[in-house]
Amino acid sequence: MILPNNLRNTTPWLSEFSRLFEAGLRSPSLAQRKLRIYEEEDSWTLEIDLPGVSKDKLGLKVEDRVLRLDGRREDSQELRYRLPLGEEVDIEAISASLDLGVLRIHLPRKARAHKQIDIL
Amino acid sequence: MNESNQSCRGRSGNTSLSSSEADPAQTSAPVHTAQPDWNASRDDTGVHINVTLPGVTKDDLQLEVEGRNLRLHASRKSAGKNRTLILGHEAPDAYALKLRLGESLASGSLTAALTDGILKISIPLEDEAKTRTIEIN
Repeated sequence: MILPNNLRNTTPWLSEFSRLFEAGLRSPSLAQRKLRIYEEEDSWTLEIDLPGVSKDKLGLKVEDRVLRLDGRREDSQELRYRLPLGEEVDIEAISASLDLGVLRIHLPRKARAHKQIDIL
Repeated sequence: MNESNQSCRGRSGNTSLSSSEADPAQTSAPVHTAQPDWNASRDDTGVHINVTLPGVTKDDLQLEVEGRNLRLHASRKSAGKNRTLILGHEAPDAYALKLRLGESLASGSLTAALTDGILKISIPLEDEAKTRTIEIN
């Protein structure tokens, strides 16, 4: 689960994420198959299995470009995830859904500033 | 769950249950089948099993009792195809669990409910196995 060096250096958003996670990975609960990040062309999706957790027991917010998820599991165990978001994430457009015990956080990528240059 | 309950996680303990690995026929299929996390507790009324099945709908879940065997098979929905996993492990495509029910359990009266990715199964004790208080005259 720890990212290879090439990913760390080329994807700033991801390297921020991995640094946080390498610390978190020492806890065996996180090493289980409960958290996944997917990359799509224009977004990332963070998926966390949270069976038995209801929507009203979860708080999700962005503060100082850090995504904060706090909550309580059914067995009263505390949930706490912190994810520093890189510059590429469009914070205003983040959305989340909780369905069948799976939390999906959609992190859209900011429209890339690019300009087509005509060759004369 | 009160303290006097016997409880266990993913193993038999003293709850009149025993588990075996997922059927080999299912694991050799191209789909990735995993044994779900489960725990069980026993009280005066019977045995209560919680099976963790995130991403599973009621329609994708099969639960059957055959003799003393309780079999569970569930397929998990995956959202999105054009995406690349960059951190973590892919979630299983399906879950399978086989439990052997003890003689003291009335498997015919089993009840089950699936809510928010957790399947709660209750199996009452056979009348003979229930605690009987005998009045002393």
